[in-house]
Amino acid sequence: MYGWTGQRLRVDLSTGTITKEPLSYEYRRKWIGGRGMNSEVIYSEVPSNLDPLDPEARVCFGVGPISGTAAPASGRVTVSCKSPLTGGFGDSNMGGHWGAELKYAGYDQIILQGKAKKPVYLWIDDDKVEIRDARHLWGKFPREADQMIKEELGDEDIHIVLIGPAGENMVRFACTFNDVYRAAGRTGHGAVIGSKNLKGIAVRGSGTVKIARPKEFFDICTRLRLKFKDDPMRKFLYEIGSLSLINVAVHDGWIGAKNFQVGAHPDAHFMSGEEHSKTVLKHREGCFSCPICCGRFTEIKEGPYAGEYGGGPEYEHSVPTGPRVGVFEPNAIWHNMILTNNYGMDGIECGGTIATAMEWYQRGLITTKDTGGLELEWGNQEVVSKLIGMMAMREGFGDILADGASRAADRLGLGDEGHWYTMSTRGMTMPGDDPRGLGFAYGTGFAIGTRGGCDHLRALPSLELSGFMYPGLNTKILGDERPVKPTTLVGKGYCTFYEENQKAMTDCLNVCCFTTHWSFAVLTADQVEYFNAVTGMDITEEEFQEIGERIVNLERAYWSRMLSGLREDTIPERFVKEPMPQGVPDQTNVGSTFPIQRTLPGYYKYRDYDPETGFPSERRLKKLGLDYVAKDLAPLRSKYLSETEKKKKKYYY
Amino acid sequence: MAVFTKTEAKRLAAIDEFYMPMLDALKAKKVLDDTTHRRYLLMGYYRLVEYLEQKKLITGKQAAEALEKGFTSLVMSLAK
Repeated sequence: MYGWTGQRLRVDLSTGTITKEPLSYEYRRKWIGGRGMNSEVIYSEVPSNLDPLDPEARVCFGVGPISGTAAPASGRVTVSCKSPLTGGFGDSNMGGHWGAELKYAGYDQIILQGKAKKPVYLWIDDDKVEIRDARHLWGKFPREADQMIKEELGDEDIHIVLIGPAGENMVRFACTFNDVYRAAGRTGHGAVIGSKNLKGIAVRGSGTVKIARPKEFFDICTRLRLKFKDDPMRKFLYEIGSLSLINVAVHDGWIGAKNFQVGAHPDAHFMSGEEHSKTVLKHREGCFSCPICCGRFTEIKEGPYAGEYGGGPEYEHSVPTGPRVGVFEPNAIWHNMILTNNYGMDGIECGGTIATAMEWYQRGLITTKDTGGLELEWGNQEVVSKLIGMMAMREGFGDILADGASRAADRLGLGDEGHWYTMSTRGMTMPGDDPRGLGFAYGTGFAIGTRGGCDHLRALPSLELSGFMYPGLNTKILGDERPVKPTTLVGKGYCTFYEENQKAMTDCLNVCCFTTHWSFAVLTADQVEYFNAVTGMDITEEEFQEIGERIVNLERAYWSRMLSGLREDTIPERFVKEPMPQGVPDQTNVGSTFPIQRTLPGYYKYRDYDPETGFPSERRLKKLGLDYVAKDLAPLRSKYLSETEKKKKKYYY
Repeated sequence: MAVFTKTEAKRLAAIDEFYMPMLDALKAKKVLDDTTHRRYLLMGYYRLVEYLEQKKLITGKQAAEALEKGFTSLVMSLAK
């Protein structure tokens, strides 16, 4: 067999049963790998009414047929579950080297179910798979546990996925790391893993990936790698990382300071990638087979946090735990990043939840009586730092925030007004991207994201973000160059549809989206070429995009099954109703709002979603080979339209 | 032979979310059928242009111009 290993591992932690299951040709061709196979398992095996923290819930780790090869940036791993944050479908993916190692050990996927009686970790050494005692690792930060496991197993070169204390404490936005610093951040699967008493998964593999047409494959890889040499986005990402976005975000007004009350702030440039590289950048490190090498490491050199060291920063981590909470002092932001990583929490949700609480405090919805004496003033770094620890350990007011902004609003009894400030859709808060400046395709993607709304990485319509660096590319794919302008309505529905399908396939192949959606060095046709050369299959560009569409529809159907559809396809009202204020003199988007009601219908037409319910249509589901899903949804359409359902306000599930 | 009238072309060119209406219009004119409509929905604009050139509905020069200037140029070419 080429590309795939052809088997997955199922581990039942309640019984200690470990099973190896074959993956048929038809199954592999239909779901490909990574996100696709994981989504199929979550849809089929996790009922929509199951508590995500129930032992019967599943967590899947998936890699793709390209993983572990020389294809550019083919080292990612998708982690999927029913999200304890949103209650709906959830997944996230991470870089590092663990994914390739899993492939070399002989597995395309791991499915975890059940709950161990005591803390354990999984040790996969090729064919040999063991469940081992992890009581001594419980409570440890990932960097500590990683070293302890390596010493215990006597091998410094193994790769390990770990949760931190936040996952153990079932913080609803806890995440996982591999190689200590590579995080799969969003949707809270760290809490699901913690609920199973699993600390981590160590892997050592000695196998290889068989390639069907090696010469053709290596010629493709060489051609693509040469493209990266001169790629404009690669240069930015290597030299200044994803923080290269800071100055752009300030100029175009989408940094979302103070819980999105302002889009730009004059002090934000102190945390720019340019400044970071000059001051605290310790070194750079790439993930498996990556031609970009955007990863960076930070060592704080002065002030109260001097000596602290950690992986990062990334734009989407640093903005929510910095400007979003009113903190602009760079060393404080790097400290917040290191702290959330140590505890094992999604920096976006963590910062977003604190920022929400700060706005509740600003508006008088909560007081120091609710917060246990904490004064949640904007920019109060002492409180932010303290709250990060309290959330991870579920202490005092931190315990309330550890459930995420939307659930915290209910726990505090704040009603609809409290929810208004959560800046979330379907229970997940916004990344550091205000659609009033970032763009209307991104904004549309926030409303319809299949892993909870408000997520920048789902549709990832970057033709409107970095497309300007590739003149003519918008015209080639979308038929017009104007979609590159963030706040135009031209072509935004199709941009969202096309890139969402392609992103789903990128996640099935488990290659990094920085090579396909930020940099555009690798286009769909290139992906089809290397997929076929590795696997020996003969899929067309049409089939490639159709598989992406199938996956998007399946995930969408998971939400439909939970009666989440058109009414829930919203974005926070602030973006629709409040014109963007001026934050800096040359800001380009002053006065803009995001007219979601004008972009969504166009997107629906491409998807063929039912205009009344927002559910995938029976016609499209059948075309995609999802007849069984169409059958599941058929009785739910009228239920969704019933008066009882219409009256319900669903902020999470 | 022109696929669109000049009025139809102008109407299409004025639509913000133009791609689906353009595919639908080509299907209404029997340039596309169900299969090709779906194919170019999935594959993107440049593949549609290639197809129209292959079908000799536009010339090589018009195809190159359609890829350089975008769909407005394409629909105008299809109205000539």
